[in-house]
Amino acid sequence: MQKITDYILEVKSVVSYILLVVLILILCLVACLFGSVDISSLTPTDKYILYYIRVPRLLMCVVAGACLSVCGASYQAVFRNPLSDPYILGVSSGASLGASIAIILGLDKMVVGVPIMAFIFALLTVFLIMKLSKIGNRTHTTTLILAGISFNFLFSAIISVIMFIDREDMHKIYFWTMGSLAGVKYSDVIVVSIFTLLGLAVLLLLAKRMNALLLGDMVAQSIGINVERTKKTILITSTLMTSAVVSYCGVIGFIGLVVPHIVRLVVGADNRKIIPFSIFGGIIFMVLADIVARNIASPNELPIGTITSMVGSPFFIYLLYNAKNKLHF
Amino acid sequence: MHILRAEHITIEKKDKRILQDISFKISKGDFVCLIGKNGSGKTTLLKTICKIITPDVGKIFIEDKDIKTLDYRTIAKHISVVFQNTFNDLNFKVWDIVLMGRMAHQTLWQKDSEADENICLQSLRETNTLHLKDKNFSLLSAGEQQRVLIARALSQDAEIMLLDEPVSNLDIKHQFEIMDMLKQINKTQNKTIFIILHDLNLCLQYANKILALKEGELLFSGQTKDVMIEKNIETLFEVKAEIIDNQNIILKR
Repeated sequence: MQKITDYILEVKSVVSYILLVVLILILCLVACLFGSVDISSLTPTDKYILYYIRVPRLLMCVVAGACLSVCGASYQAVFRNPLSDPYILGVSSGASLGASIAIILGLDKMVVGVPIMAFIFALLTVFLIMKLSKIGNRTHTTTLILAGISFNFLFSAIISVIMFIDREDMHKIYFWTMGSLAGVKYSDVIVVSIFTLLGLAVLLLLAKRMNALLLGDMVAQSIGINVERTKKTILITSTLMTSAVVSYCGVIGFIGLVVPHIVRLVVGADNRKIIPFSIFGGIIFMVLADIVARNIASPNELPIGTITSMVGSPFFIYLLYNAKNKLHF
Repeated sequence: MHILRAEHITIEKKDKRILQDISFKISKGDFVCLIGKNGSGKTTLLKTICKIITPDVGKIFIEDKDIKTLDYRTIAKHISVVFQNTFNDLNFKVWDIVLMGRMAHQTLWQKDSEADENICLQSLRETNTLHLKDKNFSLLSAGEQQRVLIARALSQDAEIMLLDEPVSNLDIKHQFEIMDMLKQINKTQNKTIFIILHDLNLCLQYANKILALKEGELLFSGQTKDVMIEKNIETLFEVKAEIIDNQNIILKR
């Protein structure tokens, strides 16, 4: 009997994965076909638009979506807090501040100058936030969110100052604060993909330990986990992934909050399911957001970050409202 | 050889002594009760034994190995811990929680093997929680949750089990149920039990060894029948005590 129910569960999860893949493929097709220019006649110009504008952009959507939502899920496991997300915690702003500084220093002419600066600043932010919000042995929700929001304020203020001083690069920097996928090249996609794939491999491997972390630091340690090392590995990995995306797409917020939360409602608290399903969920959310961003005000294009924030902020408010009663974990 | 040994454990926090020069030895198969007033350092001592807190002075030995030299995984193979239940919103299935006890025996790449699952099934049986296997932990009653947490510790397959007040928020029937279960585990598997208790009657009935802490110092320790005498209890808790038939304690103001 046990064997049969196990088997049914297995089949169920395989079927749901297949359905998700089909859904993603359909969305990708839609994303390629619809845009400010009608490319249905497949003239050479249409083909150029398809191969060099829409496809790389779509691929970036897929990679960034998967990356950001899994990062959100990982932060949530480490901080034991369902409201954590790279954007809300200020990690994305930290990365974009790093990127802006790299630009005014002229480091954007180097190959990985921008991502490295983005990573350093993002990592600094994460560790500052971890230190700030830790009271005794637990990370407190309010302090965590407040610390994140304060860093967001601080970083956007510094970025504004930088933009004011260095007007020549203003346009480039402005791009980071809004989050945009315009002008994405294949080479960008490859860099972000490498970071994302390596990061995903590490995080999937640690998914079981993330579950143990949810039992609390003491319990996790008593069952044989090096809590400090595990947390640091997860944080560094997901921060590196976030910075890679921010370096090429700017700050795209709330995916890491919305997607894992919906996934958690469906599959429960097990990170071994949350992480793989968040990959798919993140892709769907991001591709959809991009379709909307490109078509809603056509021929003009909205920055994708504004679309995700339009969806994400109300969602965040709803979660805050709910958190008054109970944190969903 | 003693399975667990503490030597001169001293812990200070902001020039306040939490524990002072605690030494004791525990043999395999002992059922040890740690008693004392609130704030006497019981939980701190328990956390020191499993290396969650590092003492300022002194050492803890498991089978003559200093725990300072052991990594967390090795310690987890020797010591399992049931902390005070603070999980009111843990949205996991019972089975998943019990399986987590096997983590110390697995490498990062390994999945739960059939051997792991068998040990977990056995732990569920021993704690009488097999029927709760597919239930959500947060929906269980306090008594059921406590039994599941003990099953989780059992699945770790360690020879020493530490428990921090496992019965303090349960009714009398469930208190006896848990204590009987622990005694059973202690007897049949020869596991060493180290438990913090507030109820002196339970101590008298179940423990063969007592450690008593007062203001961070070891007030008395030894075989239950030798040390659980009226005079000792009166100095420990500052109340009047009367022991009847070596079984029951009546406490008065």
